[in-house]
Amino acid sequence: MRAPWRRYLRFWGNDLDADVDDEFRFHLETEIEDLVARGMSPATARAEALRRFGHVDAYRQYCRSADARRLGRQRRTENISVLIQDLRFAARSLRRQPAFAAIAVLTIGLGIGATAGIFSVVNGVLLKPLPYPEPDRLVTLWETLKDDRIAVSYQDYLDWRRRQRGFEDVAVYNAFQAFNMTGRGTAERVRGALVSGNLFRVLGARAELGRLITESDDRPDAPRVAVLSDGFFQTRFGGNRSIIGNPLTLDGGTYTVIGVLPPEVRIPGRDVVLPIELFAHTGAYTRENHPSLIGLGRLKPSVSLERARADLQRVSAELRVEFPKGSAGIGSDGEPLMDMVVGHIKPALRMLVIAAGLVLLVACVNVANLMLARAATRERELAVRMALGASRGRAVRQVLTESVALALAGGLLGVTIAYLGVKFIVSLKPTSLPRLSDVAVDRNVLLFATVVSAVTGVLFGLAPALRAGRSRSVAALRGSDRSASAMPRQRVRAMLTVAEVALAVVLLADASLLIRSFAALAAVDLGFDPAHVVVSLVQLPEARYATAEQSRASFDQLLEKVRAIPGVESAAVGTDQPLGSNWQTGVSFEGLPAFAPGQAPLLNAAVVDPSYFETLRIPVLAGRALSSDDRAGQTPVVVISESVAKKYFPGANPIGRRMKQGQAADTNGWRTIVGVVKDTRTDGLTEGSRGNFYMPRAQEEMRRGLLVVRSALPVAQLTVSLRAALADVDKDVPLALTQTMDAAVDELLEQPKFSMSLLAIFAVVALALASVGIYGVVSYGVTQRTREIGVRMAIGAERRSVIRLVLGEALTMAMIGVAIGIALALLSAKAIAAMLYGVGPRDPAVLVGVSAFLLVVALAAALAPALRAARIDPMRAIRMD
Amino acid sequence: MADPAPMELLQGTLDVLVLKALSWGARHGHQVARVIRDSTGTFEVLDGSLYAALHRLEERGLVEGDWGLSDRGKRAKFYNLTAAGRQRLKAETATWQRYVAAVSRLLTATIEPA
Repeated sequence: MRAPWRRYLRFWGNDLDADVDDEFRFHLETEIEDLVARGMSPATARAEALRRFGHVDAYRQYCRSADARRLGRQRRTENISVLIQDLRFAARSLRRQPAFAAIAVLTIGLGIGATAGIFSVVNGVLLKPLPYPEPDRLVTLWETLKDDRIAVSYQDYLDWRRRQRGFEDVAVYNAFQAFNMTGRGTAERVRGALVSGNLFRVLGARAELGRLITESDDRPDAPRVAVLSDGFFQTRFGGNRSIIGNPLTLDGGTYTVIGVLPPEVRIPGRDVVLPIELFAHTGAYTRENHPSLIGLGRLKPSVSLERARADLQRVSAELRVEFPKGSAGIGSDGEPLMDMVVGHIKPALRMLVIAAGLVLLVACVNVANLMLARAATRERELAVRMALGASRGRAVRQVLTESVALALAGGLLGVTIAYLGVKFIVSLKPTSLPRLSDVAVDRNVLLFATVVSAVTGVLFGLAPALRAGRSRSVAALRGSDRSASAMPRQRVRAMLTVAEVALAVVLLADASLLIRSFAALAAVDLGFDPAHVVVSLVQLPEARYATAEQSRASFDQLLEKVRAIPGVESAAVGTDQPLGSNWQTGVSFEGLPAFAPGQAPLLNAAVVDPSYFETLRIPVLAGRALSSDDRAGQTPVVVISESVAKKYFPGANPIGRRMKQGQAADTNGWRTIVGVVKDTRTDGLTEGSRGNFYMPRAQEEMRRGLLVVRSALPVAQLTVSLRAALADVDKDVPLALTQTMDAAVDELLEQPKFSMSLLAIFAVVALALASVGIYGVVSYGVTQRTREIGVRMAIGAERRSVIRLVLGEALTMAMIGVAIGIALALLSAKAIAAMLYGVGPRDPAVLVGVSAFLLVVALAAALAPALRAARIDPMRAIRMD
Repeated sequence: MADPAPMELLQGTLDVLVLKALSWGARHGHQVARVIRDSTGTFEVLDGSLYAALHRLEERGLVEGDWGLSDRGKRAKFYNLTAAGRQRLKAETATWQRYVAAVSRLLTATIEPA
């Protein structure tokens, strides 16, 4: 403990130990002299002096440590007073140059605002753990067929649960159920989830009120119970606890409410949650069917995700052997629950984080540049201070104090910008951004912004500070701005500007790519016309619509009434809609070699009205659309989409050929292909269609139908009329999920729009900063070279050539910057490629356009200083100091 | 009259004595030792403990040390009272006097207090 102290003291200050020794020695010598003067012999005197003194070593030790403590305290107070002094000095000198201070703070504020804003989003979406105990161990599970993810078969799930060894337990849920809730005023459509009894135990969720579903509730003979989501409990029941223990009527069945989920439990995130076993006897829960079930496992503490996955795949392999028919080709897989929640947004956020970092970097470079320019004017002052004895360390510290103070002020502004920005983003309620309620400027963000500000301050202050430390030149003392050191400084500033331009190019190029990609997405041929189309869900309860005829008659009746609404152009009912298909099925074609088990093509299936194509304006390419003559009992027919025709009947006419659901040997009937329609985008905007086939409603059973209506009426008014029409047919069936097709398209475009907008904002900020940088350097260069320019003009240089000289310099900087920027953009092309659609990451038009644009901006930024240079009066310039 | 046996110094009293010794002006350690020894003669004070007191008081900011030359021309560390030291001496002196008065009142009492 003592050794480092000593080294420290010896190095930095007076040698305390030696001081104590000197003091003691002086005392003893004086004492001995006194005693000798009184007649003692020197030896006796020495012994007496030592006796009177006591234990010398112990006292020396005591005095030394007291001194060390005193000096340490003194140094600390000195440090603080130096800091206060430096801060005061910084404040004074910044006040003298308010424009500089304002620009610096604004620049840093923009940089930190962008970074802190994006960090808030990343923090909320990606970094905060999910609200469950040990969320890292939660794994989403699904089944696979070929390369597709498919929902889990309930029977497979039961076998998983019995046979798997990697998870503590696996649960399953179906979050896409809906029920008609009756008996409480008008009939209502509620979103429901079916869960296995162990789901909440696997999640580790606790009830907000009452209790959650347990395994004893999840038995066919158990009393029927339901759990409410917090949102539904608040909005529908006003948070009134008395609902617990009371009955709910869902699809005609009565369920007792036993509890409420806490607000943070967003999976399944529906209105009501019911145990799944009650439904497990229905046809959808056989081995072959995969009805929207998602698995959820909790890893055993010692088991890795890889091993648990492999183990589950072993179970799947066993099932394939045991159930060659029902489980043909079915595999299983999983990923961390967190990935399922946020996985899709990760690449976009990663890109935005990088972009925000680049903006901050540009801001740093810019302020470093400003500081350097200022350092020129301050060089004299610093040189004076150092000539008067300020140490180099002191000078460096002085400049750093100033830059860090500036950065912290900028950080404050940045946090404000981030706060407003995040508020704005959250107010947009982007559906593509999961966990939105977790996004906020919180303590982590503040900490982040503070650290980033401080680091930034050191970063952009370092170059000027080190320079200040070196500024001892006599030239600086004399205060000539044309001193020898000015030229390298101007070169450093030019290099910094080049870097800014390069970074701005990268950001602009990426933003332009995203804008082009977005334009391409928005221009995707959907295969149908979404304008003026409204889609609503109508589900007829099984209890009252036992037969196919009953529901068919009701839908017929509903359509008749809807078509009669004035302003309705056309209407149809179908099981699916473009952009949101949820029914994929394997098919076989007559006359084509049978597909191996599990290898049958999966197509999007739909049961629709003949008027479906007309209502959505899906063009018929060959043959005919479905017609009202395709009735039950007639020849079963089917209409296929273009890509199916091309893929399976290349060069041949598919009309008249036959196909069926499932394998050729299955008992399903063959259907004759009567027409080919255009493909619609069914699996998302960027995915090509996997192919669709449409069966006539008259020949199929349908209880859950989408009412598709084309009308120029305002949506709100139309909805009222549709609701009235439905009530006329069955007052206990609600009209649900009404949405315009345009809104559905917008939803798909929203995430790319979000990334595009933010990146564009970042790019514009970077561009603005870079042009400020160019302006600053050029303008300062002109001031510095006033005399040189004056001389040039005095010996006959024309004003035009002066302008050309100044612009040429700006252009050179810009061109070097653009070249580096383009190189960087090309190198980083791979990173952004995954986010692009319909445009390559090295799109020449974008790169050329951005380059040209930046050169123009550079020229524009340099124009004012160039004109100023041209107005220099040669005589005055030469006489200047 | 023979010197009575040396007395143990009461705890904490040495600091006050040192402050008092410095109240007439700057002194180095040896001078402080002499002042205390000469003026009391009663106390057995090791010179080392005096230096410990000086450094302790310096650490607390009650005295200030500075190097100078002694009257014999040698380098010596001189101590001076700071404002805080002066104040402390005043306060300690007052406390001490109150203490002494109280104790002697009791010790010299001839009638048992009521």
